[in-house]
Amino acid sequence: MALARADLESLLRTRHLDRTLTTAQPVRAADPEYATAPTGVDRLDACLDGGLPRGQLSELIGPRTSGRMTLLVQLIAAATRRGELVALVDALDMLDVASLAAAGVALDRLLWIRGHVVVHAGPCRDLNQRAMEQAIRALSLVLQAGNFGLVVMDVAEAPHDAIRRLPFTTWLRLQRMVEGSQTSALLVGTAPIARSPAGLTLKLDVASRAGVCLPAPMGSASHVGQVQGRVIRARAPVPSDTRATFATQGHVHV
Amino acid sequence: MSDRRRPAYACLYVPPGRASDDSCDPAALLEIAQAFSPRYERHHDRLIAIDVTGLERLMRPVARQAQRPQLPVVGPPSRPDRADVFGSGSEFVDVAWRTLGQELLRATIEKQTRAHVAVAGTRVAALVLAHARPGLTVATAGQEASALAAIPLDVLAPVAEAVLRPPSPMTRQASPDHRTGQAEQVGMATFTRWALRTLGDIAALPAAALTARLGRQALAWQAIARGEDVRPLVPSEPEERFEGTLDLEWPIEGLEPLSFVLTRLLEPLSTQLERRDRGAAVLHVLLDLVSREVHARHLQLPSPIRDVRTLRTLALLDIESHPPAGAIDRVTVVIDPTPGRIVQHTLFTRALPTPERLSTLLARLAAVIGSDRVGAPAVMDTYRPGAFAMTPFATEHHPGIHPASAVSQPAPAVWGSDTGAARAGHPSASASGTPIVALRRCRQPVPARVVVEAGRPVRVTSDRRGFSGGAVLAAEGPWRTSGHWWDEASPAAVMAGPWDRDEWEVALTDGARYRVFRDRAANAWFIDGMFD
Repeated sequence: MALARADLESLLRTRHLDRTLTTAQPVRAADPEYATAPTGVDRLDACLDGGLPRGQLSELIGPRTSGRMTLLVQLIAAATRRGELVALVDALDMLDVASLAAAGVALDRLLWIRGHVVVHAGPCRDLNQRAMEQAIRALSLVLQAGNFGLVVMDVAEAPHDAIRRLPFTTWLRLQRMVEGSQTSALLVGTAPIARSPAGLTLKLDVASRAGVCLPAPMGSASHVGQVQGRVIRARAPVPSDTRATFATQGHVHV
Repeated sequence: MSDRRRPAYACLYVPPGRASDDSCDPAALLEIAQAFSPRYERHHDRLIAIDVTGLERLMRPVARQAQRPQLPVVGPPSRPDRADVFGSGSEFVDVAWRTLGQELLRATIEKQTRAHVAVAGTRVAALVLAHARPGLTVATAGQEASALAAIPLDVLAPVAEAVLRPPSPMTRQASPDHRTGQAEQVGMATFTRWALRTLGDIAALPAAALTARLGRQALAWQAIARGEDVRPLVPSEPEERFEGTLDLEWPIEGLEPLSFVLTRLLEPLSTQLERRDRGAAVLHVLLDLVSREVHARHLQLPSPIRDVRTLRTLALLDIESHPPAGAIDRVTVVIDPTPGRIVQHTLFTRALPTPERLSTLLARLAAVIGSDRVGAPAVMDTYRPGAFAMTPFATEHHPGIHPASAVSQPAPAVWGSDTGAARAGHPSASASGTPIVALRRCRQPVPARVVVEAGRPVRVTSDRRGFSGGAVLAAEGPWRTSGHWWDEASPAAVMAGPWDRDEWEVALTDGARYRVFRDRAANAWFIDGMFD
């Protein structure tokens, strides 16, 4: 029986149909430096065995205030520090440049594409849908250009129906574009979108429903807030319930 | 008998005159030079040195013609109407050179230029004689020093620039009237103090002593005074135009047929650029329409490009965004060249997108999203909340570790968080290693309804779907910020005008944490963003 299975897997590889195999392929290259993109958060990198997988479409999901943008900014900062170019398709144009600067992002290495999607379009649903399709098209163009270290599409606050109305093949097509490259593609959302079998899905939770996210009086430093998440899908042999927690500090006013 | 291998140089110089009678046609001067020899050095619009070596062999049969009438010399009335000939006795003058000089002078008269013409065995001697003497001046070969001996010193400074340095594209555009270098000025002042008056006085000085007092530059001046060449003539290359035009048999409309036409025009231009080691800096596409209008597009390329496919794609993307008003009769493509880039790849760093690919990507993104919404973010030198700038995304990046990251300093935030952190002693993310909570900002603040008790918000709601709101579990603030009070308020401009607000950070029962603020001028509450 085992021999038959090996023959079957070999036949699938020969016919280039081995993408459907979830365990037959080697899950990482010999050198993790080229197989993964470190997130910049040591505890998370340790859980992910190096970072986000390259050549795959991964997802970062979670509810509002779970730390998605915080982790995203850290990812971008780590990528630019390594000398890579980063492209961010900001579908809802909600990026805070001050947060990027505070995280140490090399801004000249970030290609920022600002979309026109709104949180709730109301009667202008078709316009919003067109804006979402524009954002997808921009993402496709960036992936086709290639050689970006990290490509991110942020649809975290987009209406659910705008994402649901996209053709289901959209994400499959994007996955195929990034396969075999050294690009780490990342979708940031509220719920799983692409469900790529080879990519990684990191779900963030709201660590605490109480507590303030800032130092109490202005100027005093206090350790506040935590971001915690777990890997809910990965091809790598990561325990499915792996949790990673890292601390964050508050956002400071001028 | 003259040595057939003896070098010979001619110089055409048009001195600057009064504005009313300043007649210098650079194109005419160039045309004269090109008619006599392909090897010429154009220093600027008024000065050209020509290598006429060997032309005397063509001139000698002409020179032997008897009784050839002498040409009148164009110049001050006091000058004799014959060529000045310098040499130790006219019997040693090369008649052929004189005839050549006369032919040059005749050509300048026909072109109506007031050019001085000089012929000598060295380029330097020809340049000096052309600057110093009007009309035609011919120096005997091998006796350049004696020909220059009596010439006053003030000719040395303007000649030095042309003699010592090959012309660059920059200097070729300007006349030398104001270009006396600082070193030459110092040298002239020193020579004047030494009571030197002529080039012969400088030529007679001992070289070692002159160098010890004035430096190595003085050796070059002494060589000029003796009529000795310090560098060879650097031939000027004719300006080459990178242009192609195609007249169409029938008018075309749409991008697809235009694509074929552009490919046909760009391919030979690309080959021409490659042959000259040039790239396109600016691409001009001129479309002659059936309505006799010309639809012109000018693309400033971010880096030198000569790839046909990339140029065609950029042109088509631009024309797609700015379509012509009618059918196209003729297509003209003009390229402004620039020297090509020298690119050395490395094996040890991760590959980045090529400038050509990035240029194409940026053009495509601009066509999809809009050119004002694609670029690199930049912080601004202001305390305005949410202020940022969009800068063009560079197409050339150095591979490897970012230089700013290598120094391990906090992000250079002139505005906002880091500035406040530095003032308050709060550690930045890079210094402490702990990430700072990022804000997801509402580009247009969302109007909110806030219930305030004892000066603190206790409930935040909004009519906008997606911001359900709720009771306030915890609140911190207020932080008062204001600025630009001297500007007029404009409801349409979010990023301009004055602001005066009290900001709060609130955690609500819906699980989210927001930044809200009260606009003190309007006494209205808004949601500025959410922490995520």
